[in-house]
Amino acid sequence: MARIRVSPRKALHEWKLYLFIVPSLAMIVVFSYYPALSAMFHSFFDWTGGDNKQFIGAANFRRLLSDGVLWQSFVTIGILVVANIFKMVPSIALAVLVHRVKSDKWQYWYRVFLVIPMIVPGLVTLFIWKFFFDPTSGLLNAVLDVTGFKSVLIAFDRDLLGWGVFQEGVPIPWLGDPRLIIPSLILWGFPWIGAVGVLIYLAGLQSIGTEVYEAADIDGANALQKFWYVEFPLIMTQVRINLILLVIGTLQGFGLQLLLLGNSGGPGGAGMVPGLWMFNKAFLVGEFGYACAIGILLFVFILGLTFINNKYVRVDK
Amino acid sequence: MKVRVTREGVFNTIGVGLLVLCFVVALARVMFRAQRESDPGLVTLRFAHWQLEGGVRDAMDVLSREYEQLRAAEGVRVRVEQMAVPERVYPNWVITQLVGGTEPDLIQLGMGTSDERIARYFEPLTRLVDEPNAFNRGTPLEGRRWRETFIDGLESPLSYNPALLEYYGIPLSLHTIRIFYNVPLYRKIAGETPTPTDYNQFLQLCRRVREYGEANRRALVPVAGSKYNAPYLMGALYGSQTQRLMLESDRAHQLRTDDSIRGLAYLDGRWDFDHPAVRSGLALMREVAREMQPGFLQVAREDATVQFVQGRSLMIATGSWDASSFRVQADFEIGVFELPLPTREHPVYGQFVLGPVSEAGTGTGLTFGLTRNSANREEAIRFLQYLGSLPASRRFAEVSGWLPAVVGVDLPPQVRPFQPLTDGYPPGFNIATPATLEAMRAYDRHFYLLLQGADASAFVEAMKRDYPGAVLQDLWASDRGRLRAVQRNDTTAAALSQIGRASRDAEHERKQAELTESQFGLELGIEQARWRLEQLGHPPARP
Amino acid sequence: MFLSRNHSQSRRRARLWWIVCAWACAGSLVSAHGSGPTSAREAWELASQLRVEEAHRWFAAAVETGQESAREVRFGKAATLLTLQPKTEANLREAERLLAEIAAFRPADDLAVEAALLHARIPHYHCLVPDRAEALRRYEAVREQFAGNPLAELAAPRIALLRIFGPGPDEAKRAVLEELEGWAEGLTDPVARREFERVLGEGWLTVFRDDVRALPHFVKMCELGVVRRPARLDLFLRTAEMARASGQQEVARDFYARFLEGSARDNRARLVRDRLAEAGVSVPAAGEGER
Repeated sequence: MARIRVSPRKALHEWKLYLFIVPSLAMIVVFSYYPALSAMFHSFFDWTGGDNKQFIGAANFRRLLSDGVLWQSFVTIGILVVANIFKMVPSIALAVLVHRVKSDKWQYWYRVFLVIPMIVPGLVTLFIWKFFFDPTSGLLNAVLDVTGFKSVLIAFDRDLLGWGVFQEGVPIPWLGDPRLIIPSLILWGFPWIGAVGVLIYLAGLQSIGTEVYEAADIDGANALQKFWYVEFPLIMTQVRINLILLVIGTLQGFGLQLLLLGNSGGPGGAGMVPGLWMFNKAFLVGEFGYACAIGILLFVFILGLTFINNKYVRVDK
Repeated sequence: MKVRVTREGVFNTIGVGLLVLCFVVALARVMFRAQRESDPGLVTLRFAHWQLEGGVRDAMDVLSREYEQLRAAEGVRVRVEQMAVPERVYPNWVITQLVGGTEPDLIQLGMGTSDERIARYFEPLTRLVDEPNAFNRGTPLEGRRWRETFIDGLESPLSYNPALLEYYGIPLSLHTIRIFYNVPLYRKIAGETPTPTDYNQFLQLCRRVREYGEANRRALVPVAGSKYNAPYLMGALYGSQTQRLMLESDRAHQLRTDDSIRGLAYLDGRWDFDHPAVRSGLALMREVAREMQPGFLQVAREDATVQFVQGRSLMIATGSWDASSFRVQADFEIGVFELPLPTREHPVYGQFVLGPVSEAGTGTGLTFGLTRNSANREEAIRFLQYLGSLPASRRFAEVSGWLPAVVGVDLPPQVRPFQPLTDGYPPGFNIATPATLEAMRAYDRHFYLLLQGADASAFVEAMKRDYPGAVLQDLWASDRGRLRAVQRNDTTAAALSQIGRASRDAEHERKQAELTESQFGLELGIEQARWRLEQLGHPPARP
Repeated sequence: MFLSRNHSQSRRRARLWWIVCAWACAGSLVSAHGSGPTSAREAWELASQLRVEEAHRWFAAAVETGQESAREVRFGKAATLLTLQPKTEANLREAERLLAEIAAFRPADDLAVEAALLHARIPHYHCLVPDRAEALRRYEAVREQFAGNPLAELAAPRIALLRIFGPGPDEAKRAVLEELEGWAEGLTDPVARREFERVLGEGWLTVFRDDVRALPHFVKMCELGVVRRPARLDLFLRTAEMARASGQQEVARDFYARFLEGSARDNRARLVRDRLAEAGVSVPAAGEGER
C-alpha cells in the first residue's frame, strides 16, 4: 500500500479531534510509562520503597553481576520458556482439528466448549492445580496409582534417573522435592490447550481460502502435508504474535511459582524465577532499588528475545 | 448565525455534559470531604481493622453497641461503625484514606502505617496514657496510669513508636501458640488419659493415633502440618534445645539473644551446625515431622486447617488467633494444650534444656491509633479508652475468644488455656527468624533435606554452605536499618534541641532524653557490629 | 463545540477553554489543600515529627528571605538537608557548608557547638562511603575548640566509639581505653558522662571480655540513670551479671533485685530468681499464669 503524505497543516486542521485520544494517552503515560521510567530512575538508588532513598549510582547493577540466585533463576526460566514453546503445539493441533471439522454446527459447539472454561478465573485454576499436586489427597497421585503409571515412574527413577523420589508406597512430593519442581511447573496446565490461543489460530486458519486446499488436493497432499505446507505457514503471523506474548509472559511471570511454591521458590529454590526474585527483593527484603535494577535487566532480556523473534521468525507473505 | 441543531449534536452535548457533571460532583466530594447525611445530634464514629476472623468482628460489634448504650444513658447519641477491610488490600486502603482525608477516627496500626505516616496522620496519645482510664473506675485498675494496665506496659513497637518517641497505639489483644486437638477423637484414642505435658507423652499420643488409624482403617495423621503451621511446633522444639547454648553465646550478659547476636556468634564460631545442641534440635524436628502428613512442606495453612477440621488429624499447632475460626468450622469440640517440649528430665534432650519456656514479653496486637483528622476527637478518645478498659476487655475476650491485652481480666473458660505462661526461662534461638530474611530463605530452601535421609547431615551440609553468606547479608541489612534510624534521628535531635532552647517544655525534654539514649544505643550497635565483622575478616557493610 | 458544524469556531474554542480552565482551577484548588509552617518553631516541630520536606521548604525559603534568626534558619536548612529525600551528595555538601559556617561563629554559642557536632556526623553516618578518620578529627576539633561547653561533651562518647572500635590492634585499644578513662571525671554533662561510660564499658566487654574492667562503667551508668524502662532493666541485669562473673556478689544481688522490681513481665525473671537463690536470697515469683 503506498504511503500517503499529509501536510502538518492538514493534519492539524481538525486539531480538536486529537483531544479524544488525550485521556487514553494520559492513562497510558501515567499507568504504563511513568512506572517504567520510575523503575529506571529508582534502579540507581538504595530505595526502601517509602521516602527513604539514597543515590548509589550503578551499585545495584554491579551487584546483579554477582547475584548467583538471579542467574540461576534465568536458567530456570529459560527451561520454562523452551517448555512453553513446545506447549504451543497442542493449541495449534486442536485449532487445526477443529478447523477441519466439516460440520459447521459441530465446529461452533467445539468453539463454545473451548471458551466456557475461560470464565473460571486464573487464580482458581492455580488453586485447583495446587490441589492436584497434593501428595496425600491430590488427584495426580491418585490417578498415577489407579492407572499403574506410578510403577513406570518408579522403574524409570530406579533404572535411569537415580533420584529416589518415586518410591513404592510413598506419595510423590511433586512440590516438595527440588528435582520435581521444574517437571511440575512444566506439567502445570496439562493438556496445555489455551482457549485464546486456539481461537487466534482458528481465526488464522479460517482466513485461508478454499482454493489453497483445492490446490493441495490436486497436488496429492495428505493431511499432514496440508498442515505442514499450507496451514502452518499461513498462520505464522499468529504463531509469531503468540510466541512473543508467550516469551514475554513467561519471562515476567511469577504468580504461578509464588502460589505453588511460596516466595523462596520452593525446596532448594528450584522454582525461583527472575520475577519472583524481584518480588522477593522488593516486598520481602525491602530493597526496591535493587528490584528495579532486576526489572531493568529483565526488560533488556525481553527486548533482546523480541528482537531475535522478529528477525528470525519470519512470516512468509 | 443560525445554529443548526442535529440529533447527533444533541446527544454529543448530553454526553459531554454528563462527563462534566460527574467530574464536578467528584471534585466537590474530594474538596469538601462530603460527610454522610446524618442527624446533626448524632455523633458517628468509625474504626477500621483487618481482622476478618468472625469472632473479632462480632466482639467489636458487641463493644460498639454497648458503648452506644453507655453513651445514650449519658444523654449522648453515638453511632459506631466498624470497617473490616481484607488484609491483602488494607495497606493500600489505609494509605488512600489517609491521603484523601477520608480516614476513619480509629485505624488499626501495623500495615500501611510507616513512621512518617504515623507522624503526619496520627495523634500522639502520650499524655492520655499517663493518666488513669476513667472506664477503669470501680475496678482493681482504678487510679493506675492507663499504660500500666496493659500486659506489655504499652512497650510494643505498635504502641510506643521509638522513632517518634510517643505513644500512638492502644492494643486490644495478644496471642500465644498452642496445640489444638479434636476432643471426641482424642477420647476415642486415648480415653481419659490427660493431654500430654511433655514431649515423651506427646510422642506416645502420636503413636496411639497411628495405631488407632491402622486398626480402624482410617487415614489419620497425628498432627496436621503445613509450611505455615509446622514451624510453630518445630521452632519451639528446636528452641528448647538451644536455651543453654543461647546463654553460652550471650557475651553481652543480657541473658537473651537477638538476631544480630546469634548471627555474629555463628560467624565467630561460638555455635555451628555440628554443635550437639543444634544437632539435638534438628533431631527433634525430624522426629516430630514424621508425625505430620507426608509432603506437609508444600501444603498451605488452609489445607492443614481443612485436614484438622475434617477430622483427618488429631492435632494442629497454631496461634490463639485461629481458635474462633476452628470453633466455627469444626463440628466437634476443640481442646487446647501447651506445646509439649522436652523437660530437663528427658534422658536424651533434657541436657540442653534450661527449663520451661516463659511467654512473658509476648507482644500485643490489634492496636488502634487515633487519626489527627478525626471529626469527633473527644468521642473517639472516649471510645478508645472504653475499648482499652477492664470491663470492655472482658467482653472482648468472651465474644472473640482472643486474649485481651489488659491485665487482671477474669478470662472466660475458652480463653484461659491461651493465657501466657510467664514463669519460665528465656527461649533458645532458632536458626532463622522472619526478620532475618536471607537466613530464612536459606532455611526454607534446604529444609526439605532435613526430612530426608537417615539424619540431618544433608541439611547441615547445605546450611554450612549457604548460612554464613546469608547471615552476613542479614547483618548488613540490620546495620543499614540502624544507620537509617541514626540519620533520621540526627534531624529529630536537632529539632528537639532548638525547640527546647526556645521553651523549656517537659514533653520535649523527655523526648530529647529518650532520643539521645536511643541514638547512642544505635551508634554503639553499628560500631560494635562493624568492628566484630572486621575482626572476623568480613566486610563491615555490603561492598 | 460538538454541535452542528455551522457553529462558529470562536464559540467552540471558548467552550473548550472553559472546560480546560475549570479543570486547571480544580486541580490547583485540590493541590492547595493544606498549609505549611509559619514560623521556625512550627518548622522545627515538623522536623521533629519526620515531616522533613515541609520543614525544609520553610527553612530554605526563610534563608532566602532572611527571616528570623539567620543562623537558626540556616541550621534548620542544614539539619533538614541531611534527611531530605532523595539523599544526594549535593545536599550533604550544602549541609556541610552551612554547618561549617555556623560552627565558625564567634563568640561560640550553643548553636555553634551543635552545628559543629552535626558537621562531624556527616562523614560519620551520612555519607554513602563513611570517612571515620575525618569524623574523628572533627569530633576532636569540637572537643578542643568548645572546651568548657557542656554540649561539646557529647563529642567525647563519639570519640571513644571511633577510637575503641576503629582500626588498630586489640592491644593498642587497652591503652586507648585507659587513656579515655581519664577523661570521665572531666565530663560535667550527665548525659555525655553516661554515654561515655557506656562506650567504655562496652569497649572492655566487647574487645577484651573483661567483666572486671567493664563493671565500674556500668555501675556508673546506673547511677546516672537511664530514661527508658526496658533499657534501664537491661542495664540492671547486665550489671548484675557482670558483678556475678567478677565475684562481686553484693553488687550482683543489689542489681538483680533492682531488675526484679520492674520485671514482672520479663522472661528472664525466673532465671534471675534462680541466680539470687544460688546466692542465698529467696524472692517469691510474681505475675499471672504461673505453672
